Amino acid sequence: MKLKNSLIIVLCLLLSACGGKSKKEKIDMNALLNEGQETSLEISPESMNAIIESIPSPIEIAMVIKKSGFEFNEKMLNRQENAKFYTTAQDKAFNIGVYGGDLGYINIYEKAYMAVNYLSTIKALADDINIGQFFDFNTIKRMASNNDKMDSLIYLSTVNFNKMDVFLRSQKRSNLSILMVTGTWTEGLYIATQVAKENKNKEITEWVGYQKIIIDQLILGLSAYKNDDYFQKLVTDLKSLKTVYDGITIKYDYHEPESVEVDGRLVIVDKSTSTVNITDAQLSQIANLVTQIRSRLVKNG
Amino acid sequence: MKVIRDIKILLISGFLLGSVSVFGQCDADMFLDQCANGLGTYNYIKSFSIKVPLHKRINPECSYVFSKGSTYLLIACDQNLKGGKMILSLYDREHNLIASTFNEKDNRYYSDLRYSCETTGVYYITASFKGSKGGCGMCILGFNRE
Repeated sequence: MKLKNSLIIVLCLLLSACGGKSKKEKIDMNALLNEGQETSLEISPESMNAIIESIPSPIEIAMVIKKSGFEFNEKMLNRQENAKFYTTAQDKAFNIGVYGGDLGYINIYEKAYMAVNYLSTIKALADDINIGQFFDFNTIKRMASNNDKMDSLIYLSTVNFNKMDVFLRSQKRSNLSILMVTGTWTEGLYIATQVAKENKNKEITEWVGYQKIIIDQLILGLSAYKNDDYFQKLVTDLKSLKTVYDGITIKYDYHEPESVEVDGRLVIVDKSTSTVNITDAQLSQIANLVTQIRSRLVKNG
Repeated sequence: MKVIRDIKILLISGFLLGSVSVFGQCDADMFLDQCANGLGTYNYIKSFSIKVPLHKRINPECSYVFSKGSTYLLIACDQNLKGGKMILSLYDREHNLIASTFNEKDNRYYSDLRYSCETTGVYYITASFKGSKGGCGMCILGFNRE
């Protein structure tokens, strides 16, 4: 009897510790951006994580460019020699992102010989800010020496980059994490605008226009550290870019998606559409501004 | 003697109940490489670790900007030990449900879903475990472009 009562008490104590109200951890991007604009919002770690994680991978725009039929252009990329100019943790983090954007482009175009060099540069910068431990160079070199292994190289490069980002955030160094993704995004936008301004291409031009969705998120995330000079200047730069994006409109037309099963797999077809209106003049302004911003930050001498 | 015996039983009971109520070893990263094989011809973008303790009604959510013209692949990868099977659900920018890897009508699970995107915007991916049992898993995101 005594034992039975004791067990019941223990059970009750444990269940009360583990139970509780149901909790939904949802970050609504639209609401977050609206609140951020109204007040000087303090960003919670969860919101910062949501912002950082939602930024697209650089291999996506690289794929758009390649599928549009454009040749690989090494001259657009940030020179590896510029790495010696990056002396502060902020410079290093931002330019790890820039080189990461270049690496996405290099990998999609299967330039394995360049991938190893860029990875070396990234690792050296990453070591300086104590996040270089994710690069297994023996494996990377082995894959890069075999063109058939490009898919694996893309996979490994992306996994390592993501690990660096996750590690930074786990170490409460989200300031460097947001700089890394901003660097990657800036480089992707720079490459896209360089290609688009030389060649009239609807897909790439529209992609540039859709970056309106991202720039607000980046400004919000970076503004959390606006007491730091580096961040303050970067926010000012991006706000000048945002001024052009404010004139670009995106419209949505909602329709229910369709689900089909193909070979036992679930395939969803989006029946909604989005339309972006971006003029040649706006594209040109964005191209000029991002070139200036990038030039300052990569220290393009 | 009886008191000591009772205390021993209490301690053992507490330990056993404690180890059931907290989801033990959950290292989702351990099976990233294994599950990433499911990408096939899709390019890996990122993965999201999902860890939900037993008896906790939490639906972890992550967001990502999908681009028009790309097809995205979401792979549901879970350890499926003590917990229920992991279910991934995809929502659009207005949080309208687009699809889920669990079909309630047919009681059918899918290990992945492919989404052919025509609307650039923020999308939300939530994870849950069948029967609110909690669990450990990973959502792997890949993309392809025609």
